[in-house]
Amino acid sequence: MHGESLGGMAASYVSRKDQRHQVDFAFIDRTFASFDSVAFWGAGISTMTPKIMNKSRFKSSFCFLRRGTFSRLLGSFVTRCLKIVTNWKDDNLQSFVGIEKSQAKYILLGSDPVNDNIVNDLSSLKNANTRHIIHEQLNTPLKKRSKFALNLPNHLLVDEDVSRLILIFKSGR
Amino acid sequence: MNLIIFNYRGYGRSDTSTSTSFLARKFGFLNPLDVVKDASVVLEYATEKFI
Repeated sequence: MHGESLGGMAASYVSRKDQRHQVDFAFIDRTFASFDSVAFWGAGISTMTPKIMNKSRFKSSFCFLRRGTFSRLLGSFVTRCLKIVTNWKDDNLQSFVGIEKSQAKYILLGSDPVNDNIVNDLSSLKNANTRHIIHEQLNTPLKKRSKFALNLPNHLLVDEDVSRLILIFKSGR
Repeated sequence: MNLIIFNYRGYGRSDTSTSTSFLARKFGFLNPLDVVKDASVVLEYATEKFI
């Protein structure tokens, strides 16, 4: 089973639902966690790009707010507008997590964090699944789980963090 | 081996101008629930015919 973009949602749903036939291999390619998250980060990221990778600018004030806070507020506003207009209820992550519980032998999740202009990396299924795994490991109560991001200060990795991590891995600490 | 591909990116889209949904008819927005229901029908058809 191979699904790309919106097809990833169809593929993961069908792989989870169809119990009569065993899915040997499910390849969910460059898809998103939900339409909400695409709207949230699509709107929010437009106020941050390309400064999201720059830690000093990420913290700079914007309209009397931190840029990150402003982006989240804008993202929430757009997401609510989308919900009011469309009333769509979709959750690709739920379907994807459900595949693991079904009979699928192999599951491959593809993403393109660099060149994908449609599905932003932060709204991708890969990112949502990572957050889900972290929440599961930490036993976070369901009420405290955010659909869009981890409720941690400065949880987004920036260039400095990545460089520091590489140095730590190289030194073997 | 049976391979089913759901691809909604870059290879043309079906005409939604006759859809009963306003958003699909006017703007081409596809309701994700309709998409997954269509996928279920596709799978049903493929199962009966090929698998």
